[in-house]
Amino acid sequence: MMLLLFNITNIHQYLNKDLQNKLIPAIKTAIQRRLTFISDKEIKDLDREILVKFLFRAQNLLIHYFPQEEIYLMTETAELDLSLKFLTCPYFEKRLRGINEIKELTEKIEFHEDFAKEPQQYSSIYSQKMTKKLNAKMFIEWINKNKIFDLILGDSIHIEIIKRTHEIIKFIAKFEKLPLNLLDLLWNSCAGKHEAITIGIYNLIVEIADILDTQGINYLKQKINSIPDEEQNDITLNLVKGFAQKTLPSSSIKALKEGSYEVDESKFHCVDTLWRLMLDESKLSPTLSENALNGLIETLKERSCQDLKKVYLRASLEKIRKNESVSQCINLVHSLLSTTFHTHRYDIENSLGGVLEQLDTEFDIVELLITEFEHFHRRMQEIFSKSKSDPTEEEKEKVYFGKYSYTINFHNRLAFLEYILTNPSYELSFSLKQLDRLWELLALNAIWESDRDYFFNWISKNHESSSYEDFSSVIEKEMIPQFFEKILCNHKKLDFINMSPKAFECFQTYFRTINEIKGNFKTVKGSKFLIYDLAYEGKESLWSIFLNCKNQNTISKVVNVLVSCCLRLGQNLEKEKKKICEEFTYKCMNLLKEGYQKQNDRLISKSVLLLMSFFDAFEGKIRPEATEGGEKRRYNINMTATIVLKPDNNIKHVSINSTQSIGYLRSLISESFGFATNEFKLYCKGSLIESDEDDSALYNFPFGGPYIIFKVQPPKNDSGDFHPKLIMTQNTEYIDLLFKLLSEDVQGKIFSLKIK
Amino acid sequence: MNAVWDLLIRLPINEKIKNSLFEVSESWDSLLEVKSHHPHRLLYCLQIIEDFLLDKEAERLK
Repeated sequence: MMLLLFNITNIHQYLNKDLQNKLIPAIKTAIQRRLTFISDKEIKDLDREILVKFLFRAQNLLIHYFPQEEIYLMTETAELDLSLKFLTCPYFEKRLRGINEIKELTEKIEFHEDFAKEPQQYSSIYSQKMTKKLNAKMFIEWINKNKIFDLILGDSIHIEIIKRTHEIIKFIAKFEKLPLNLLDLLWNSCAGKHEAITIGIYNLIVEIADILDTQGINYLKQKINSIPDEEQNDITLNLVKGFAQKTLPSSSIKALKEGSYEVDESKFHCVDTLWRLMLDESKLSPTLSENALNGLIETLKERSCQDLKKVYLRASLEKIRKNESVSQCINLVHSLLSTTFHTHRYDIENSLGGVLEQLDTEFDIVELLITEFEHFHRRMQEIFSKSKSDPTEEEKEKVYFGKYSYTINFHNRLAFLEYILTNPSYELSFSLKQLDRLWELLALNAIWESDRDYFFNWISKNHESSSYEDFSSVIEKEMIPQFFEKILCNHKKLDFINMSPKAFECFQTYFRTINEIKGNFKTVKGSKFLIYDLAYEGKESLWSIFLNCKNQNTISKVVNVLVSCCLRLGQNLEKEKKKICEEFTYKCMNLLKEGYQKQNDRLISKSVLLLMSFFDAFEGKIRPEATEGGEKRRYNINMTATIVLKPDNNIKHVSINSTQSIGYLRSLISESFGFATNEFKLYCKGSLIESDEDDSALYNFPFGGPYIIFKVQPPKNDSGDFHPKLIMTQNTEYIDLLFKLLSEDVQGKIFSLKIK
Repeated sequence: MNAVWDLLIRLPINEKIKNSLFEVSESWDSLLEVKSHHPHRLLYCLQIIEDFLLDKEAERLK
């Protein structure tokens, strides 16, 4: 037929009129018949290019003998009917071609309609992209007449075909209202179908949700809400979330009254479904509830939810007040506050500070959170009071409170409190009483030891800066002196005897901070501190911890702080260094004596440890426990440092470990060149290394050097030759005491001594 | 008590004990407190003597 058409097209103008009048209508009828009665087998073998060519030639021929519109309509309808044939063909590939052709036609019709409305906006090149006669009305009629959607969504439903249906439905919605029976058909088509089909249909529903009218939205919303909790899964939740987001109003829906939390919620669809599904009372699994919560957060972050999210903030705090679904409500509030409000206050209503202020006025947030924490803690204690033995760490993950494990509940509460208390946009802080309540709960009555340490770590975190000058923690600066005195220095509140290293780190953080605040300490390079007043805060408590603590790891930390408090002297105390060191040595020896007299082995060990650490620090050796673990391991390298004495160019090499201090390097240089440590200046890469760097580990400086030294005149009255060891060795009473201590322990142990 | 011994030997030698050994002012039994069953003191004194002898040897070899 193609050949026939080709030949006639070439010769038709040479035919006489009569023949033309007979032949051309017959050809037209033949073409129509040929297209109408095309078999499935032919469809299977049909090449689309040839078909397009055929229709084009037919159009070109017939257009000379029939009205243009009639011919265009004939060929375009034929094209549409052919695509239906493809769609109903048993071969999947052809069915796919059918749906693709229908989809392409919708695009062409859309151009046709747009052109009909505003022809001046479209140039002639668009003529190729639009239908000539076929319009939206005809197309929709054709869709309905041929029950195209029944075909697509019927028994032979296929995901690839569904994926190509979006545009057709959108097209219908653009030109006519989507019939409810189509939505019904859509909804019912996934019943009992494979998961992939369900996902495809749900995606289709979400895709078209924004073009639905109110009736359509409400119809589908009612369908979505009718999914029982037991049947909810990731797929249905994606539908709920997608539908909620796609049906959000295009502009922000304002509160009904200014400053009020009431918003016309009928403008939002399925947002409340996500809220309901995330709560403890829903029958969803914790993972699915978390999914719903994330969906809700994501939805509320949208611009049109500016006022709606305040409704949910309020609802969440209300839930927390009632001790219901606390963990998820905390997560919701935390996430919304931290990501969706701006920190500046130009728009007070929508600034973080403004919102926090409103919420705090209504809920007294800190009090609310502490009261709820007490309730949570009480409930957990009740659970464990029934068991005979203490709860183990493994049990922590197994115990659930609401939809979340104990650990998540615990961490969520502290994370949110931390956020609230350290937020610079609006000042919220603990009163001493509130702090004491929290301390009582988490430090004194912690259910798990690890929780206690977590709390100590939490309360000592410095959030903004490593410098103590900009200390910013969950406790506001003004509260620190009271907290330090009434809680941290109070052995009834902080167990000095069984103090864990974390508890001591907490003490140490505030010990440094309070003394910084009072001007007793100053932080210098490398976050080290120097002491400017020996009557520093917490001195007695520090010694008391040292004397009472039984935890060996904690004792090592206390010893380091005690030694630092003796040796890290500010310039005003540098002259008194000798006296201070003497007093420290006497104090240690007196403790040793007391240990001997009272036969207190623990005190003896502690005193010896303190003295040894003191000597190490004095000599610039860093004891391993005094360095930060991770860094130490990374840079633990044995090396040979080259030292050049200028201007003589006398070169020496010293062996040192990179974790050891500059002070220790100084002492090695002193030994190998035969100078006192104050008789030379040490340079690295042209820069002078000041003596206040002596505590820094060598890995902070370029490895291997060469280090340059210049001999200098030692300052007058400098105690360069002084070493606290001399006080001990020159005092025979002290040497005798050491021998006495050794003789107490002598029998059978002499051979185990390591003679150095 | 190893720590006490570590502390002791870390200290510079006590001059009084050293002098009494170098001057041999008393009998060796008494100087080294052999009879008083203070093995640590004995060990301490022996170390001082060893150091002294090693220093002399080093000087001789120079």
